[in-house]
Amino acid sequence: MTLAKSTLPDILETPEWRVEGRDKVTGAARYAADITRPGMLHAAFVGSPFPHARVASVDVEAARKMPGVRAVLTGADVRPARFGRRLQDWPVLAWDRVRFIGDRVAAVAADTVEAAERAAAAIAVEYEELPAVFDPEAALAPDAPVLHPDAAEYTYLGGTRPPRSHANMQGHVVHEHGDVTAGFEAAAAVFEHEFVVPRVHQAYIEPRASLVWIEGDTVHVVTTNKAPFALRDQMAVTIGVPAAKIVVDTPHVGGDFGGKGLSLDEFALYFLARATGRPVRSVLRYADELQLSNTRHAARIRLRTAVDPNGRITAHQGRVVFDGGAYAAGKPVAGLLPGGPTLTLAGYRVPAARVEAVAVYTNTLPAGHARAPSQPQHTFAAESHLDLIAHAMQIDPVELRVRNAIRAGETDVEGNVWHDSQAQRVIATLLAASQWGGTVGLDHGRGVAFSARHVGRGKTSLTLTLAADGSLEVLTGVADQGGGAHTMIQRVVARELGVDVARVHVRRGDTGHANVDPGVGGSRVTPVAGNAAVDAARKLKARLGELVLTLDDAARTAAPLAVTGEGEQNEHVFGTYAYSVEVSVDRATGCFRVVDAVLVADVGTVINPVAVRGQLEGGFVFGLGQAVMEELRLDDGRVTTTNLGDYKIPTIADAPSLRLVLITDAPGPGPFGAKSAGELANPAVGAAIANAIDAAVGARVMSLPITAEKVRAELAKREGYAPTSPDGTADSTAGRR
Amino acid sequence: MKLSHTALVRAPRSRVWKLVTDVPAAARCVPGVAAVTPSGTGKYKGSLLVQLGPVRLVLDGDVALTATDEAAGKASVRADAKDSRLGGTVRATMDLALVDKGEDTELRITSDVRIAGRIGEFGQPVIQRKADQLMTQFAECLARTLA
Repeated sequence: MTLAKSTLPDILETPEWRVEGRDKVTGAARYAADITRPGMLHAAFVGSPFPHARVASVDVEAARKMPGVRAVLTGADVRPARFGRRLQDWPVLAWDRVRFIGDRVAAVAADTVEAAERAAAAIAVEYEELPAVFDPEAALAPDAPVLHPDAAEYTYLGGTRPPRSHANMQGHVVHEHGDVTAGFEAAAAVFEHEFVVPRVHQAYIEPRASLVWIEGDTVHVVTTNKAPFALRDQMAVTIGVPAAKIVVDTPHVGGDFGGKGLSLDEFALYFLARATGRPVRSVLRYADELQLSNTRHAARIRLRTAVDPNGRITAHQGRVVFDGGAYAAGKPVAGLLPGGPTLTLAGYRVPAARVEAVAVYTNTLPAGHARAPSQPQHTFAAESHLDLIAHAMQIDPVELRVRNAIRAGETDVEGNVWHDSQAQRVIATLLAASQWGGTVGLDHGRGVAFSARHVGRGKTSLTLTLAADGSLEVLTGVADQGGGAHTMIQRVVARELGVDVARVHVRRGDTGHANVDPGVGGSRVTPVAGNAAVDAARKLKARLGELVLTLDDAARTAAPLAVTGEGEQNEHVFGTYAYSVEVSVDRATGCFRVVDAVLVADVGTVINPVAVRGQLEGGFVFGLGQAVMEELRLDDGRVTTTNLGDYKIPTIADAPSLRLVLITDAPGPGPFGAKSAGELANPAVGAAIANAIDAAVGARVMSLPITAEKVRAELAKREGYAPTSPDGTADSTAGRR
Repeated sequence: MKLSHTALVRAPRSRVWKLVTDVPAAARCVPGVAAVTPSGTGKYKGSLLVQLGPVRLVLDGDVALTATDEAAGKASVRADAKDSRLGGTVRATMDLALVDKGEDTELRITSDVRIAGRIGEFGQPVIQRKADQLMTQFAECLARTLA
């Protein structure tokens, strides 16, 4: 080897500076809504006021004549264009039927946003209302109104749409392994509980924005979509333009949390750009974000678990009903369910299981992916369920988890055998770090929750070029959605080559320049793009070896020298984590407060130490919001929390202290043994808090968000007194013991 | 959105009935209503100006008395209105019930209000408060008119 041994301290031991950090803190970073084109027009849309209706007529004459208006399109102009990540079931503009409040029927391009909005308001649409269905169980009734009678026409990307037993099902899956019947028959006890988790929004700061223009025969798209190559391919099908003639560019993304894989406006903007010959831009108002976009699925989860006399799980059954909303377009996975739909007892040994999951069409805004799809719903249910079992069997809740947490060689709830497991270690570390079993104050209680998240899988490639000035440039298609992907790539390349990080420059390319990448998501970037970065650095070293040159000599004599690094991660590997949360509860009001929280997480080798902490602390606060305050409320299909005043998310004032303990010496399949962290922390927060409240005052809340009102109602039920009436006439001290 | 309001009007039921089913007369008791004109049997056109914080909405639309049962003291009113400046529609179905309370009459109004478009984005607490305020003023005005 001709490379000199590095004398630098190990890069991974040094806290990182973000590649894009300076631009972001100085305001130089450009986001999709910052980008303009000469002659650019602005779009506005007309949405349905009805949850389910036939579009009888759309009168655009008045709108067309208004000043500044350049184009007005209706469903008839775009028919039969529909969009979606896997199933293209969402009309770009509805031509015959609207399926939720806000479903778009017309689009305007005008010189200013104001002119476009005035014209949109002047479009007269006549509707004939149809019976609407808002409850997924009601939508599965034999005589329920069918939302998608023309489903046979829909394009399903990448194969054949799986069969369904009811027209209102988006996706339906049943997982079964082991002898479930025998497991239940042999059980010492069987427990069954039902849990409800509402719809929540990803609540990123930056609303969706997009800009589309046509140059020659090439369609250019600037977008907030975090998966530009996937958008390009979806768009090719929707608009009927070959993917090679579409260039998608994703500048910095201002927060994603799983929601920005679905594009809404880009397709209509293409038709407007085509009609006007001008660039057309749309920036969603936040009220529209909360009313139109792909939220996390609301879910009703029924779990039934059989245990032996020691509390060891012998068999498990689950039925999960996800409210999919009006379109399945937001779901990228083949089964048209949110990812991991049957992972109802993540991280436990389950010898026999039968879990059924269904996503159902309703006349509400479409649901899609959000940080760790399905898992906040499932983990709230599973970890509350196990606590109830522990309580009933008089087993310490941590001990019950020790007895059931999966070990290497055992089978999980989805029938996968784990070849490695840090689950026991995570729980043992939590016991020590939280001093579990110690005493807590009056009306204080501690709850534990344990869970698992897969290390991301997928495939990508990137290019690494040695330039004549000795610098190294990485060109990647991975978007920057805030997780630190580019910094991770920079550090991996620098460490592998033994050079200073400042010598490695990471550049993001649009779909016309960078190699194909599946997009940010699924906890995939570090293990997949990180492995591609390692591979690129190794290939460059091999090339230098062939040339018998040092890096510096090669820069002088052989540059530019380019290699392509390939990264692939298909192993079925899980990271596990556990929380201990302490709460104090006011019995009179049901108000509670998290006073202490400990998170133990198995993250493998850490590449970006600051970002890992950010992901886990951020995941905790994200999970906390969804655990105790967030709910996208609907009233007859209409979102009533249409701003961030009514839809509350946590601020720093709501964030309790969190102690973080990382397990980093159990290597994963990512670069240098990294695992994933981005979706590791948020799902288990709700159950940890629910368990802590129950331990404190004996109030068990079976639905999220856990509010003071729900705690108070449970206390009232348990202690047999009426809660205080709204006018405050009841004795508010009656519940005190 | 379902709203319900109850108000006591210090007048006998027959007089209250007469007033509340006379749409132009009753509308004069709704603060912000301008120009209610008949547009067919039991149908009227009108406009309502509502101030919601800093925002002024002008709701233009139709009001129709869809059912009346004087013996039972029950009536139904349907209103469809549009605000064209901000963009949005309001559709309200109101069921009125008059109940004898000695010499007075209790007026019970249950409304199912559907608000669409931008004016629906005010948030329910704001809309609820405005509806409560309008209803209170409506009932006070009825009582004054009948005094």
